[in-house]
Amino acid sequence: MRIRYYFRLLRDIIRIRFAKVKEYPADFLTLFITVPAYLLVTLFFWHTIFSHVRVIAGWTLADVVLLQAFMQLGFVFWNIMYVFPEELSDMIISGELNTVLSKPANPILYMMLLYFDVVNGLWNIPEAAVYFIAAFWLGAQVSLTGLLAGTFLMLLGVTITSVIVFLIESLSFWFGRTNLLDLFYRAYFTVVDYPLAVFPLSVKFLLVMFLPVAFFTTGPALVSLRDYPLTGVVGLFGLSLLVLGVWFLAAWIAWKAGLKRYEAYGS
Amino acid sequence: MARKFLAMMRLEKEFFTAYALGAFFNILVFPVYLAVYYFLWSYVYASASSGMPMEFNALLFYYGTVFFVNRLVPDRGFAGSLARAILKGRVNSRLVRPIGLQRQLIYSQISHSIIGAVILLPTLVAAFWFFGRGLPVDVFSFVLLLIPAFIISFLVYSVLWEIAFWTEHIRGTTGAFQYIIRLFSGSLIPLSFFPGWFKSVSGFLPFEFMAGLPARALLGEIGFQHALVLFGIGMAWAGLLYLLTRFMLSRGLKRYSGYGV
Repeated sequence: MRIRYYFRLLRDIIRIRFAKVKEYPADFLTLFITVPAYLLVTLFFWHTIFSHVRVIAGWTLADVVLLQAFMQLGFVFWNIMYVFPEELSDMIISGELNTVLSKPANPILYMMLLYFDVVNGLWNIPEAAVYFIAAFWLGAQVSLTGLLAGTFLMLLGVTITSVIVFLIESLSFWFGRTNLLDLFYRAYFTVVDYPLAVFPLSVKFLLVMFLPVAFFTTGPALVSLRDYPLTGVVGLFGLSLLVLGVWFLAAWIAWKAGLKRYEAYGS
Repeated sequence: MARKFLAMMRLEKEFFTAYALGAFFNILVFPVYLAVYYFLWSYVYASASSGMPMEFNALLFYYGTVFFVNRLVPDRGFAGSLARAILKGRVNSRLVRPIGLQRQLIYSQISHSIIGAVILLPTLVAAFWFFGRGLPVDVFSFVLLLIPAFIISFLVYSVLWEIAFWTEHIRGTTGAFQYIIRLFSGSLIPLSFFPGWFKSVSGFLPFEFMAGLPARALLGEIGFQHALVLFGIGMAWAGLLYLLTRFMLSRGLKRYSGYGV
């Protein structure tokens, strides 16, 4: 019964998203002009760097392009499923969270469905596809199972990031608007498209635990490479699950405590 | 006019005080930004097979300066917020003020830049301290070229937000332009690293004025005489872009007010 309710909700939301595309087709199509622009810029950037060196910290141009491909694929999932944590702070401050809490559904699941935007992620698909093709063309040595494992690790990476965003936004229960998310995103997107191998160990630790770009781009690209050892793959998956568990617990505690505080205002 | 400018400046200061944390976060992101380029280029310089067009320290100082300039001049956020204002019909409240829309915007952005410069000056000083001390730093040419950098950025992003009079969103357009600007302005990598043909193409575009030229001027690569010439060219670009924005604004406002009939 409850599952049917969620499916109906999801179906209606997807219909609304596509209706919007039909209403403003030009806007939707303009999103696709970012594809060649982004490709041109990043490929040119890396090509310029690799015109001076053959390998950077063990990474070839093909590997870096593969990393970019996983990043674009990550944005597909992020833009479709994980927009809702970014909205949490506004919902708390504006009181819109009341509406969510009054629905006969799990509030987190309801928010997730409310902001589920299948159209929003579509424009990253051609970007990801072109990057994968470019990586193969440049000679990236990948296997099919590696690609699947990489995609799965990337999904875990996107989920970890989303859980951290949710935790940051939950702080609005106590501190109102904090701009902390802005800081997190600026730092995150400054480092996300570079291979972790260029950083020293201490920085790598930060990029695994606190700004976990390791599981979003570098990790997936590594595990999809044909010669990457199985122990490394298992290690990366184990580490990602550990990091996810830690952040999930912190986010869950913050959400529950925050809700208690939020509801107390109404009594 | 000066009174109106000061009033806008006070307003901007209030806004900054209310959301001061956001501005200070730029300072926190600065070491992350510089660290990425430091470690990446360390590898490139350590194993470069050919001569590099710039010394390593000069390159890092260049990136530090670009970070500073990029945060002083109007950016994608400026275009995005105005496009949203058009979409939500909030431009009305700006149109009824006793000061023209474009003047309001430029006053507000100048105030924003002045306050931003004060807050972000430590980033520039830090970049100089760590990487720029041995370089023939030219502050005069830098300040001179900051003027066209500001005006051209303001006008380029004005063209972009004015597109919102004809479309509902400008996310795709600004997104694409953002990438092009990053490449051609030298924000991503100094243009001296690119092949000759790319530099020739870039010479016919106004984007290098937005970040790369002021940064190169501070590094002492340009010289005051040449900076004066570049200033003139930059202002000519600004004139052309101004005419374009005026044309688009008048057409756009006609369309916008047409909805109220």
